[in-house]
Amino acid sequence: MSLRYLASRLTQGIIVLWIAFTLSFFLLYLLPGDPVITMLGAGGELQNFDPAEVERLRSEFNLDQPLPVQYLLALVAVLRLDFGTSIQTGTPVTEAIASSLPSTIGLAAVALVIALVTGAAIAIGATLTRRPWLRDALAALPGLGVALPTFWVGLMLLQVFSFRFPIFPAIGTGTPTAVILPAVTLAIPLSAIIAQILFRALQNAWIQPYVTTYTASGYSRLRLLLRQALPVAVLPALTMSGVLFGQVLAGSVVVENVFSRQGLGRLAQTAVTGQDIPLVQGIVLFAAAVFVLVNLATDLIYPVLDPRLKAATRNVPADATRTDHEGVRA
Amino acid sequence: MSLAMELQKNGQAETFGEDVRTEGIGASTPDQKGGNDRQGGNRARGLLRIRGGRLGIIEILALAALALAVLAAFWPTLLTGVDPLTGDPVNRLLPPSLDHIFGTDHLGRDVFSRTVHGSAQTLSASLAAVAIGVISGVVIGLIAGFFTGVLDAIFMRIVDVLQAIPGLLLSMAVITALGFGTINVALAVGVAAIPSFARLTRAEVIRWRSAEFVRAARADGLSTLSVLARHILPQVRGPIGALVALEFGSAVLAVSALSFLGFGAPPPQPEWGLLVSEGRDFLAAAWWMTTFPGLVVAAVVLAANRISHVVNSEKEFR
Amino acid sequence: MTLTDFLAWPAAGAGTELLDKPGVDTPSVDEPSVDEPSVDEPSVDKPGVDKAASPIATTAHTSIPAPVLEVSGLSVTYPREATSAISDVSLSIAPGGTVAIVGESGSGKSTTAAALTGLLPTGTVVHASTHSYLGEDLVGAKPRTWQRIRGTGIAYVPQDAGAGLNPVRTIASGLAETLTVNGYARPRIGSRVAEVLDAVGLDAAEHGRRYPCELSGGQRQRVLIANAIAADPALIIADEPTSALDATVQKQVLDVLSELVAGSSTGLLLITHDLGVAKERAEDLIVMRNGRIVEAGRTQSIIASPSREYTRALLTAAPYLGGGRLRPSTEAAVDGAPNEATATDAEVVLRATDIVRDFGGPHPAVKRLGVELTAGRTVGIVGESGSGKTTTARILLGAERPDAGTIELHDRELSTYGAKGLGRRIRYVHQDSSAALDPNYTVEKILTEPLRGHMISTKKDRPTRVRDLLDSVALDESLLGRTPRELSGGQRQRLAIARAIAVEPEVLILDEPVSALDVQVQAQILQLLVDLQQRLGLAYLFISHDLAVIEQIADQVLVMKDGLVVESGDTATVLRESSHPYTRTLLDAVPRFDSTAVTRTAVTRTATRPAIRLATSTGADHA
Repeated sequence: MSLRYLASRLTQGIIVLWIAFTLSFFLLYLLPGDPVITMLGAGGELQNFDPAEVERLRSEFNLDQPLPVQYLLALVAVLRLDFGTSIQTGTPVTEAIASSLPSTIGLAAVALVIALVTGAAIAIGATLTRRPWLRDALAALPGLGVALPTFWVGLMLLQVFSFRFPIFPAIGTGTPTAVILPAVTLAIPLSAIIAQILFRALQNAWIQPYVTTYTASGYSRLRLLLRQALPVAVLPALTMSGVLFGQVLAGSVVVENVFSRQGLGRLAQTAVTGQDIPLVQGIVLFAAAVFVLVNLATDLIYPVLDPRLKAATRNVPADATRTDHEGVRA
Repeated sequence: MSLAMELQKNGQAETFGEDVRTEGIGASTPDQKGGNDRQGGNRARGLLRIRGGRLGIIEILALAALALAVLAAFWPTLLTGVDPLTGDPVNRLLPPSLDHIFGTDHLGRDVFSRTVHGSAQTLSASLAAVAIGVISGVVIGLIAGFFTGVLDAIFMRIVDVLQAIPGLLLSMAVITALGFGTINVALAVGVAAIPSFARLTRAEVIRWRSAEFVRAARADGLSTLSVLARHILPQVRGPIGALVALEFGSAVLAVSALSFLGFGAPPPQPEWGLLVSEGRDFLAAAWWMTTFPGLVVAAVVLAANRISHVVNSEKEFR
Repeated sequence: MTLTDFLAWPAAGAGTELLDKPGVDTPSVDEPSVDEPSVDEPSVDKPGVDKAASPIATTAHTSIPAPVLEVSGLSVTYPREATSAISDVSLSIAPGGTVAIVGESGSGKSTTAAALTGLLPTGTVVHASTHSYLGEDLVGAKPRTWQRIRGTGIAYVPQDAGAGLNPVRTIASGLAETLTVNGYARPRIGSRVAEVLDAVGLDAAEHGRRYPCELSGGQRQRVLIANAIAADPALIIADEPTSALDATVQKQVLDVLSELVAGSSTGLLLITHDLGVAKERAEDLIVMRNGRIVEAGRTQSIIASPSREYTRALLTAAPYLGGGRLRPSTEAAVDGAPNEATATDAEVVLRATDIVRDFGGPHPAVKRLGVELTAGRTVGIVGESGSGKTTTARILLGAERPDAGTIELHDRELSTYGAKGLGRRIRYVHQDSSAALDPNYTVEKILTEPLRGHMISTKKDRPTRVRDLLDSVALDESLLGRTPRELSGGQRQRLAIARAIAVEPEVLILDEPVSALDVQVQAQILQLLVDLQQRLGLAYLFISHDLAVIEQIADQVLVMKDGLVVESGDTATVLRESSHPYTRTLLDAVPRFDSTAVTRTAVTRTATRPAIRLATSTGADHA
């Protein structure tokens, strides 16, 4: 892996973050009229604003400055990781995000573990089984998983496992068992996505000629799957990890609402409800940064795992550069 | 044809439970199999390809579910004569019965009627969202794919950004800017749907732009625009159609999730997400208030995904 | 250690269980498929393939070594297919013997290979009256049985479509795993990997740590062979092991296989579409067509005197060296050379001088190339993959700009014509006709498009013109409403040619136009091209990897290697008297028939040509 590759990936990520900032800036601060009125309006008193308060907010957000100056001031502030302060609580946005993060990370970690295990089990089971009905049933599960509304699944689980059979607490973050139901709720769409991607990748690997080669060399089905198909199939699945993390963040908004948990999702919801523009922008940029970082990590790991990419970036022995496409005959 | 290829063909058919694909594999399309090819071609051109030669019962169910949802959205009175907004305090929290097949809510309103009437809001918002996504996404994708260079780079970086933010968060940001309400929710969900359409269109255009038959069409004297309209767009149509169905399902989920979170229409209105949300406080007392509207959402999404799958496999078949 | 030593069998664990159960030669438990009556009763003169006899009982105690594999009455029906893919196939492979199955695509040869390795998809109905491997009955064998026999007993060499080896495993680790699977103890694995790689001419230290993508096609094919022989199999089934390879590499790989088998007791079943390969490598030959055996017996005798019409037709169509250029079919009866006199003073249409194109690879893609195309004449370019022949085609077509050099069309610089002007004068026919035709268009639309695009004839006259065009490539009007997918490969290529000539061009650039086609169809298309050239006075640039094809069509030939023209001149002279080492290597790599066979077929070639053409004029390329 060359330094140039690393640098180009890094630059791309930074450009994405910069555009994300620019877009969110223009969307939130410029689009629908006066953001100060919007923010105050959400506070409750719709009619009479205190003109002094309006002016104070105006200058706090530099809205009294010309547009390019506003933008540059905001950009410089963001570069110093200063996303402003929350309108509702007055705490700095970075602080608000940081304090809500641990709870969401805990939830996401449990959910990801559940999702990886069930997702992989479904995909591998569906590929491995010789029984058509079982394969069809397993292959249909992910489709079901992505179609169920998360908020509804959470409520159904609550209804059954907290009210009908009080096994788990209905709300809160107090006991360790309290994380189970929300994590399962969050894990259902995640595992469905993992199962879908992995199953498709395994199917694709399974019909490759090399599987025939090794089948004919006496390999068992299980060995073929685990040692030959899976190492190839996890590669495309890996590229989806950025999307997966985004899914976790989006899911946490709904799940934390349903189970009345504190966390980033909850923070996002209250920010939108209160039209807390700095907080919303901070969360959006945070999500974009997570996505960029995860993708960057994937990009760096990928060539290590896939020799085909490595070969493409490094010098290949001269005799291997020839292709044989011209002589292909039926 | 090598054994590997033959196995691949039959293996594929086997694993996906679909017809044995007789499609030739590129250059090696066998002459002797001409008859089979022909058969496949005819089937692909049929209105709806039916898997394995059997009548696809699941597809018919999916179509029926969607038809019912559309019926509920446009002519709700055909399905229920009960008013969704006026409650009957005597009949509060009644479990499902023949009079109220989905039961009644805490104000004595008929949940079935509210679900039927709610489909108009939810489905039209979802349709509008998909329309926004398709139109902007396809235009961006066509431009980016066909006119490479600066335009492509700019458009695709913007699409990258839209994709970097989770759909629900992106929609929530748009709602923060625009305010609450069904129309704004539709707009917000539509914006979040743009990247997938843009990416697919661009990828397909790029794929077909360098196809051998497109080169041949240029040699045949066709202008750039004619090539785009006559040879490339027909290829792109199928995959986009499949994505429309898929994104419609996602839009229904997103719209109802946003309305569940309270960003949609205000309370007396029946919206699917809102109905589920209203039932939250009565989980222990009235399970039907959350269960049935949620099931309806799931059914519509499942049906849309199934249709997408059918359209998609028809595309692959082609 | 010689090759023979480590191929000796039976290997440990293989074929040791002689399940000599009486009465097991009743058909498999599967419902027998529709047993079609045999239309073309095969003439089988092979001993020991008597369907009625129980081969286990009879052959086990005779002095002749028992066959490695014995099959009779084998039929296979794929799931959800009405007709069987193969039926009533019988064959027997002796230890150390080589049997070749030859057939065109769709003949069922690959299905046969799959059935013999137990690699058919689940749900396939297999039926056989005898199927025994070293005496072990395999009729209705369980997956577990197959798994035990594969590798140590029956090994399989697939055609490397670039993906025959796991892309993320190194060569050595892949081979090591195959050995582990087949019961080799860990300490022995390392040395065994080195042995088998050595046996196929690769170096364990150098190639073992590489990934498949870091090897050339020929090297990958060798690794596939190494993988097959790793566990000392009693039988190797090689399915088109060299079809994707250049002729010179093909010869090397086949040599490796032949050496491995020669003198050992390992049997080899070679599946190929190439009669020449079968003739050179196999003692016994089986000719298949439409899932049935047409003819089986000693290779020599079949080649010398085929008893079946189909075999004779295959032999006739098979390209071979020494047949000379094809003549227009209308001249078949007329004696004398094709219009040599008119050809020599025909004007030069396209002239390229000192063309250079460099993509920045190890060597320029095209280096100082010069070529002159003359009306009514053909220039052939022959070379292996990477030789620069396709780049040359694209440059002459105007699709690619050369870095240096001039190209003139009628003494005018090519670039001054404009894309549309060039598109009318120089036309291109691609190897892969299914990629070159819009799958959504009907035949009529495909042929109308160039007429409209180049504003040829009035809207009213176009339907007539389209029909004339179809007629000139011997396609029937009834095909007008079909889409490309509903045509056979040969019909599609005819359609592509019709589209090319629709605008009355001067130059046709044909890039491997017949290499994706079966030999018989290939012969018909070549004849069509020759006839069209004579009628329309077209200048052809014909690109091929196949010297035999070049000989049939080209007046002049350029031999290219690594972007450089190493030899050029009159085709007959170059092919007969070439002294250039590279041309000689190419010539040597072409599988050859006996001189007797050549003369036989040379006579039949001219005689049967018009008949074949007439047969296809109804639109069917099915021979």
